[in-house]
Amino acid sequence: MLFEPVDLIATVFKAAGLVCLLQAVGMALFAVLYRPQCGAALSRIRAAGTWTVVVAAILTLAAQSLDAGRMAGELAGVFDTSLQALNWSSDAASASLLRVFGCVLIAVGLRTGYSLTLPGALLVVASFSMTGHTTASEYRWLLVGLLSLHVAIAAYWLGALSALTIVVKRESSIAAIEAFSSHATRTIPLLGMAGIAMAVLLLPSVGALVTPYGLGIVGKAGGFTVLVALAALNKLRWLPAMQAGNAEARSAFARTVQAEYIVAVAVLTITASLATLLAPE
Amino acid sequence: MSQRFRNARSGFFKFMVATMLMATFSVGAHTPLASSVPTNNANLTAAPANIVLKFPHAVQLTAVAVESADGKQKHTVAPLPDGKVKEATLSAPKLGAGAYVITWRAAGDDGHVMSGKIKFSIAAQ
Repeated sequence: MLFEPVDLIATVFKAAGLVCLLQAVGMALFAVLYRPQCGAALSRIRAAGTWTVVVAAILTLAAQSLDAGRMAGELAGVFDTSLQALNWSSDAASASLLRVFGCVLIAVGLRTGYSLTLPGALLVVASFSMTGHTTASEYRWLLVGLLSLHVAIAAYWLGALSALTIVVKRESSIAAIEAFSSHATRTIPLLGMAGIAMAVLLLPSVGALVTPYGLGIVGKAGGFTVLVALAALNKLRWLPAMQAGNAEARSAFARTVQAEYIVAVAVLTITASLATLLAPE
Repeated sequence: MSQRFRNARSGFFKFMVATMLMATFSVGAHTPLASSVPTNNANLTAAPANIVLKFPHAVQLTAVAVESADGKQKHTVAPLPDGKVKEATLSAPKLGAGAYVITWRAAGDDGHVMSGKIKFSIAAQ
């Protein structure tokens, strides 16, 4: 067997934690940015965001603890105090703790007037620059900026997709969809541009695009293209139809959002595999 | 079926799809071994006295074991270096003829867990 059960368990926790983390940050951002337009949907978005951020924090801590098991190659390693000491003294653990602290701020912010929500989201986004391939690059600080922008917009998009599934069910909340659609047109291209810039800085040559890492980046770009196409379908077809009072358009919009969510998760999956499996060189 | 239940079901479905997709792709780890003794797929005429693992960057070795290819025997290699090293020379367990796999695990500079396997065989004398 190529991998031990502890690897599979840890990976499931990491994967679920990452999805929840980005989704929670994005839902919090959605609640802050489109508070006035959300109307009756706001309380549900806040509640869902709070639960998501709590689950994200728990999964982040659990995944980090499981790394001691991965160090040992067996689940028993989780109970090895020396391995846990090594595990929790690493930069990866510091990043996890920063994420959890960010989650706490987001959760408190969502329940108490939003003042802590953005600082919390910023901490979570910044934590991604503490570990990984970008830290080993000679362009580290440029990559930190690009990665932070990339993660922030990815979270904004994923969280918005979750929030939109709540918003679209309420007639009065179409203003939130219009506001998001308008902002997304300007921010989503930055996601792609930051991704391309990081690929240029991380890949040693154009030929590296045919390596497993390069193919992963090509896959991400392909997924991003599909996402943009789905978003364009909603913006150019279903949103105007909803504004015109077409009842069918609302469910078509919701279906497209769900498709976007699944594709976004596929893109995140490739991202996770690049971060854990492969190196640019 | 209530709307709330349908919403919860839809959310759960999406969450599970997300989890399974990410789990499928992200299982694994870097294998940044620069070189090793024995080398991968080596056919040895005698059991190795030592196992040497060389890494491109300093790592903290956390577990090394030698298993028979059929999985029936497993020898834990100890002791391991205390701190981070780029090269580790470890005492090999006493091995007879047969096929083996060295499994190693290490924590990278940022705590990232890495693992790898080295296959080798020892010919019967």
